[in-house]
Amino acid sequence: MKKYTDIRDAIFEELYDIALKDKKVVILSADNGASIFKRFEENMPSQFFNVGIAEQNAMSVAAGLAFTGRHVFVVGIANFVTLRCFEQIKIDIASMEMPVTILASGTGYFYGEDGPTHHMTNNLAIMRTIPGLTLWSPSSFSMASHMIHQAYEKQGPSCIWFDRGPFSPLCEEIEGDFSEGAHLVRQGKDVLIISTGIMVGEALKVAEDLEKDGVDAGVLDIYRVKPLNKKILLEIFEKTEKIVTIEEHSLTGGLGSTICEFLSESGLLKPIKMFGIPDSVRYEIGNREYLRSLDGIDASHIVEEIKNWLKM
Amino acid sequence: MKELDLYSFLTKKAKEIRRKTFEMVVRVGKGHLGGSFSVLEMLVALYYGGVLKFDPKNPKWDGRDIFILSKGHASNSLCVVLSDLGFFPEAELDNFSRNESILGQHSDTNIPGVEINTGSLGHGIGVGSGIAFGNKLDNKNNLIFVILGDGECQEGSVWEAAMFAGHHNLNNLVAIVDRNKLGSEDFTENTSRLEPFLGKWNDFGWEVKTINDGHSFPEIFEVLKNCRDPKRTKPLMIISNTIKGKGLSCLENFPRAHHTVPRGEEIEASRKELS
Repeated sequence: MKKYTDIRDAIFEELYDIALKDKKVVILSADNGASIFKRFEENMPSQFFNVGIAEQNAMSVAAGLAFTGRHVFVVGIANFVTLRCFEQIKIDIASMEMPVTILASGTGYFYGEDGPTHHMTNNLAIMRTIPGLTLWSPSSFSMASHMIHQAYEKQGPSCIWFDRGPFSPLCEEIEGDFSEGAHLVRQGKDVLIISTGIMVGEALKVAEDLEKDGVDAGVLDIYRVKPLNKKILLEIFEKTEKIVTIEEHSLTGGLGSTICEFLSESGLLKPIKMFGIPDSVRYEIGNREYLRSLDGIDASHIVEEIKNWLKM
Repeated sequence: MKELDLYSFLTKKAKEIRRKTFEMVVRVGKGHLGGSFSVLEMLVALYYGGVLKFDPKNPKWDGRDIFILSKGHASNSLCVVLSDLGFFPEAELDNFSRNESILGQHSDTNIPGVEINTGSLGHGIGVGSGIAFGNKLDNKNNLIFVILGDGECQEGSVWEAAMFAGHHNLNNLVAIVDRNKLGSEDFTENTSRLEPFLGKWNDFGWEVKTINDGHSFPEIFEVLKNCRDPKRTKPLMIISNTIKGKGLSCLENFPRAHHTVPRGEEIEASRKELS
């Protein structure tokens, strides 16, 4: 696999190669742009279509194209290709197990300056309620490029939501085919910090800062949030004293909730502390670091909170 | 079959399907007779009039046309049609809407002969457009038929699909609106006006035909006979003017005919009307 330094390259260069080999791969863009799309349009005009700013129809058309034996990739801004067309995904795609992969760009506060209409802070909460939908949340360029292949090979409904980065250099160094769904990026005996996507980088910062204060924290990256690799989670959680979850996502229904549900289902009793976005609308304008600090999900704030929590 | 013989056969068949649908629904006291009866003659014309290409013994036959009942609540009568044609045993109708039945109040792919899940409105025309688009890419000639309710056309997703189909000149797509003038609780023109309806579809890039009486087989066939016209360059919209609850005086044109089912003395009176 090639090395990438840009998320769009990581996803769309690989998709381009897949589509060149398989004429039954079709890409629909909900008027979402990337420079590589010109190459798709020029070199495979019967496989790439900009269907306009109509995400509900994009999903229904994707289901129809899948009905004709195609694997369809639908590209758009995360909010609009998930929330706006939730029912089309649920009924037209997932309920009939159509091979459609949603490529959802910009998670959490990625579009921080664009205001609350563009904040994608509940994608995991809503999308994981759809049966049969595989959900990936890559934490590196390399991982994203592998996930495109997994989505293609899976031949079922799936969603990859991706960020432009920057991702943690440590995550970029990790190699593998990323088929396991979760990876222990850092070992630690005092507390296990769980995160996903771009926030794995923040979790690693937290772990490094905690180390300076004598706290040995591990970091677990759950890059496939549905279905969870329950076997791996059980193995890791059984050796874990305390759990922290960090996400740039609503605390309602997000990664922390997912872990709590898993603990309940598994009968494991572990103290857990969840960091995420409170149940409110952010009207403040600013970049994602600024908005994270307002919600208390920046590394420095999380470090202080964890230290206080561990003293209890 | 000569035209007159065909119309006579279809009229008898429509009567039989209407009666069976009625019995199936009153048995459980739940159903959507209003929409099922307004669209009934169109279903009979498509399935028994030599319009749709299908094979009940091989429901996934590659050469078939694709039929989507986007107004999935009208599946009461579609189920009776499909069982009558042999897609599944007629005995299954006795289980309609009961535990463990494959037949519920809307249609899904568990029912042999049903292509996609429908029930929530505004989906069928988008999926149908996608299938039509895919078939055109594959140079396939089979047609995609989608029946929508007129109330369904208040859904925004219908117009996203209408724009898409018009833009891509999907001349292998035939959409039919069962224009019974009623939504679930009220007349469409009282809630969110559809008219001028024909003009809207025209403006979205469709060829539009109107059937003044969607319960008249000669009128239906006057329009359907040209649905495979190879010279057509646009998607075809057929606006079929019908009567909600057609055939039952206790339901006909009644604003709440959507899911009202005859009860008590109305049942016997309805049976007489349908006999």
